[in-house]
Amino acid sequence: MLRSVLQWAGLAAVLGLAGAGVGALAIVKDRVEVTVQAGDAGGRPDPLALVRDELQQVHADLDAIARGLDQNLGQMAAGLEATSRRIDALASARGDDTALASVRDDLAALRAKLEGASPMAAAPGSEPPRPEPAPPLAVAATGEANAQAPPTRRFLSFSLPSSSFAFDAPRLYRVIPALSRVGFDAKSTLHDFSGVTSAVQGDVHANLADPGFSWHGSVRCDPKSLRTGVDGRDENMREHLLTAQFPEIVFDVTGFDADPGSGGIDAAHQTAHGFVRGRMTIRGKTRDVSMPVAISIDESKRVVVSGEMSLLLPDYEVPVPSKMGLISMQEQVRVWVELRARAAGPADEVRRER
Amino acid sequence: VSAERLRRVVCGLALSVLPSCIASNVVAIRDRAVVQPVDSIEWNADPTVELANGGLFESARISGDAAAHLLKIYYLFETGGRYTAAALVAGESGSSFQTLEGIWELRGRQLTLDGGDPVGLRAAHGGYVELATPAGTVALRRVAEQ
Repeated sequence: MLRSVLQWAGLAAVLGLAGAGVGALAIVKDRVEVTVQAGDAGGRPDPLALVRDELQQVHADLDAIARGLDQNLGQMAAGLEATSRRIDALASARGDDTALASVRDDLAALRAKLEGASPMAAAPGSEPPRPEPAPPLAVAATGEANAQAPPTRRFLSFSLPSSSFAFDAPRLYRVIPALSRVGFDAKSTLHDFSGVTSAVQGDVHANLADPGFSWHGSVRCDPKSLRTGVDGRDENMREHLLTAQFPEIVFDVTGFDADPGSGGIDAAHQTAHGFVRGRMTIRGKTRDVSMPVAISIDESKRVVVSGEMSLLLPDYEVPVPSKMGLISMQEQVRVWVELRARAAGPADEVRRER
Repeated sequence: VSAERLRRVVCGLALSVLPSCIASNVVAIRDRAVVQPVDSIEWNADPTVELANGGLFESARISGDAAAHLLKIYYLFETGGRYTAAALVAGESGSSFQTLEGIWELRGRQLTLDGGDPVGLRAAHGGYVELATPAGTVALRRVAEQ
């Protein structure tokens, strides 16, 4: 009996609880919003926002890496170009320890700079490399100033090659017409006179400190431009020199002999005294000559060549001017040169004479 | 003495004296070299006056170690403190122009470019200004813009 009562009581309790639940649900059904979230997400930021932030960071990192790569590639190109020039210089100055050391220094500096700036060398998680800021205030607008990395030598904000003028290296020297003169001094019955011109040009390959180097090249002048100060005499001179037919007087340089008696070669003081050998061509006639010269370097690092020699006009079949046998010019004239030339690159070939 | 003999003596004397009356036209050895006008300049002007209003300048002479590579320089100094410059630089593979721009400032009788080391200044009448550094000296000549 007791057992039956307990069973009916339990069943009534279950039905009551179920009914209460259904009733409560009916009451609050419009006020309940069901959301699904991870069990441990309580109080954390929105994961979608985190994803957006991560994506933005990835974009920023990629941009920085791209900028860094762009800069590094530019530096590599500039460095390779500078190194190439160094190697060319080294090739032209074989045995030049200074040039070799300079190349080594440049390569080491370039390597250090690339390693320091490379995004690949950055530690994981570290900030991506940023492009280096431009130099304050002064900005190089064209290649060379930026290409010299690191700058070899600064002068008034310009970037210059580190090498200095090399007296003892084989170089091509180019005559500067505006700063050069050639001429002659002549004697005549009435008075002496000179003929002068700056219409002179030429290239000479030489090692100023090494007579053994085969000097070669030529210096040419325009005889039509010779001026003596008297127009009529200039006109006669042009006729005698046949300038229309032979428009150039040429001195082909074939060698140099140092003259110890007058100082020889002094590389320390950058001077040389000796004889420039060559072939002089006037009015189409060529003769071997040897001109005593003094060579020095001026304060603007230009080569100064001063020289003079005598020559006989009949040797070149130049008629000696004479007016009715009374006013005559001597057949011997002094030819002189006062040249300034600038190093214009390495000599085109290195040949040993002896 | 006959008149004919006297005439011969006079003519002979005249011919012997005549060459000494005509000046020699031989160029002296010391005058053979080309002399640049800037070589004979007297640097006695006030550089701050010459540079006060800026202007366009070209190099008339470059000396010192830097001259081994510098063939020509141009500077344009603007009154607002900005400058731009170009230099023809000789390199192993040929010559090329470098260009710069930056800030210039006069500090007493010295010039600073981009806040760098002060550059010594001298000036001469006629628009000449000389910039002197340990690496070299540049004499600038004012030129007209075209």
